[in-house]
This record gives sequence, C-alpha cells and structure tokens, in this order.
Amino acid sequence: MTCKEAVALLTLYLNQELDSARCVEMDAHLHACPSCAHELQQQQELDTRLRTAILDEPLDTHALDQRIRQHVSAGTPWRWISAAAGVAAALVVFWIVFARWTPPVYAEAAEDHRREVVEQQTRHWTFENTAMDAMALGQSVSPVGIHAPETAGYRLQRLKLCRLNGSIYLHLVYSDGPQQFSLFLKHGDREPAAEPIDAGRHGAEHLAAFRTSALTAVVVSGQSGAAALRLAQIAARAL
Amino acid sequence: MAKRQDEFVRIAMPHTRSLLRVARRLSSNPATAEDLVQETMFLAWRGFHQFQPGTNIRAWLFRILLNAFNAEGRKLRSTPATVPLQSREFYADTHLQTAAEIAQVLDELGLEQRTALLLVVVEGFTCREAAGILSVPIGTVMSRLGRAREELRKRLAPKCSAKEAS
Repeated sequence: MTCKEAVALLTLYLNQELDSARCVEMDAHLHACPSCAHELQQQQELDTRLRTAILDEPLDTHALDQRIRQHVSAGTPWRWISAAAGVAAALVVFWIVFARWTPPVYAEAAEDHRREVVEQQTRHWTFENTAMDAMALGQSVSPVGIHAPETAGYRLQRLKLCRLNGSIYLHLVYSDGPQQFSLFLKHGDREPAAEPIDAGRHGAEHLAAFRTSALTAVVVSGQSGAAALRLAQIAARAL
Repeated sequence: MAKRQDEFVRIAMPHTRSLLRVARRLSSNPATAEDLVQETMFLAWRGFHQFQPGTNIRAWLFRILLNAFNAEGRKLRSTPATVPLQSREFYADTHLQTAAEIAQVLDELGLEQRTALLLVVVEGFTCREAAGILSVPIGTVMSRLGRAREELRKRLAPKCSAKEAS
C-alpha cells in the first residue's frame, strides 16, 4: 500500500468501513510509516475537537418536542380532512361541468401518457428511488409526497422530466396492478389561490388536474375518469 | 392509530436533538433551525407508513431533514459571512472558547463540506450511510470530507501557531 492510497482510505479506516483484508494492509502500512501514522493521529485529533465542540453546545428541545408531540397526537389533522372534503366537493362539480374541456397543458399531458405509457415508446426513464427523489427535489417537489400514493396501492414505477406547454414537469408513472397512471407535476413559481380539481377527457385519456400555491398536477388514466380522480384526490392530500 | 403514534414517539422523537444540532449548523439561525426540524418531523410523521421497521430510522430522518432543507429551506438558508483569516481574533485557550472557535470555522465551510463533516464526524454516520442520506456516491462523501478536513485544519492552524508562539 502506498502513502497516497493510505491517506485516501483514512476516513474509511477511522469509521471501520474497510474490509478485513484492506484493514490488515492499512495496519501494516501505519505501523511502518510514521508520516501516515502522524496524519491519522492529526485527523483523529481534529475529529475529536470538532465532535466535542458541536456536541457540547447547549440545546433546548423541550418546546420543539412538545409541538411535535402535539402534532403527532392530533393524528390526521383536521385541516387535511377539511381540505380533502373541499377538494372532493369541488371535484364533483367540476366532473359534471368540465366534460368537454381540454386546455393545452392537459392535451399535451394526455398525448405524453398515450405515447410514453400506453404505447411505451422509448424514453429515458429513471427507476431508482433515490434518483427519483433527487429529481423531484430538483424540481422543488417533495420526495415524500411523490411516494405518498403508494400507501393507497399505487406503486411509483418510474419518472422522467418532460415539457408541457413550455414548462418543465415531472412525469411520474404509478401502477395499481393492472393499470398505469401518469401524474404530471410542476412546482408553482407564483402563488395563485388554490384551484379545485378539474376533470375532463382528451381522446381516450381521462384527466383530473388541480393547482395549489405549491404546484400544478395533472393525472392521466386510460382506464376511467373515476380512476383519474381517485389518484388526483390522493395526490391533492399528499402534495 | 394510537399504536402508530406510540411507535413514532418511541423511535423517531429521540432523534430531535441530533436533527436540531445539524439544522442549526445548516441554517445558522436557531429559530429557522427549529422550523426545519419541526417540518422534518411533520413530514416524517406523514410518511411514517413508508418507514420500514428494522431499518435505520436515524438515517431516514436525516434524509428527510436534508431533503426538506434543500426543497423548502432556500429561504431559511443563510450563507455565513466569510471572515478573512488574518482579521479573526485569536481566542484564549479555554475549552469553551476553542469550541466556539471551531464551530465558527465549521460554519464558514461550504455547505457540502459542512454537511459531510456533520453527518460523519459529529453524528457518527458511516460514509456509506451519509452517501445514502445525501443521495450521492460514497466517493463523493469521502472527497467532501477530505476537502472539509483540509480546510478546517488550514483555518484552525494559524490560531494554533499563534498560541504556540505566545
């Protein structure tokens, strides 16, 4: 083992993250090389000083703990329930009223869903959870939120970025088993009043869309309007 | 529901202090740090059904904290003013002052380097765990740590030399 290799591995050595063979090599090198042994000692001392300095700082978490406990013991907050009830009521109205309506962004969402999900045309999708979370964060969308529909039986399968009506959206694909759904999300860059869920149809695709101060969301399903609405309701609660 | 609440209080709440400690070093403002931890715990409670029992709750909470910080915390984030090395006052050699001095130097590091040091050196996560929390490769964590330690040592060295000289 060279000194350069040893220095590069010091952190893993200190954290006991080296495999046993590497660890034996490291021990031997440190035994034979005073310079690297000194470097290790300096690093340990620096780490100890830093750890002590930060861990010794006084912290009072009493009030914070109290607030969190109150929030948790409240269970499902009433504001969520009332928001969900409001969304559901508006949903019914718009479901009746907006049978023919298809603004450009929704038409493009329906087209994307048909091409990329129904016809499965080749696209560069991201499948790995960590990478999907990072992409959501990159668009200022909560990673916890995008996974929330999973509790209702919708598995998040994949994600990509797309452009709808000139704006960048996250295109998330969920599956409830037999059926795949698209959820298009865009972080809100201004603060309009929250708008209720709109529902409509474009070609063979059923749409349900809503907008809050935080984001714009469009759900597309080839299955039924009710199925699109159900996922939109879940997304509205979670996001 | 009560069982779930009890479980959350039992396994997540003990980590509030660690989360706040790191949040304070990220946001450099006690009030906004508390807001960040509160938001983290609210998000964790909302997503608690997604937590897999038996996995690392602490790493899970820190991942939420850093995600919340990145997603929501842009307005909370403060970039500490950089103080030129030669203009800093040297501290007397008491434990308390040295700790304050080290904390100040830590706050002056870049956010990525600071976060790597906080997770691995202060909070005791392995490099692999820190990589998972930050959603970066382990090599990235190691290089950030290497640069952070080098910078920390460089910035603390003049003071040490001055004390030795006196």
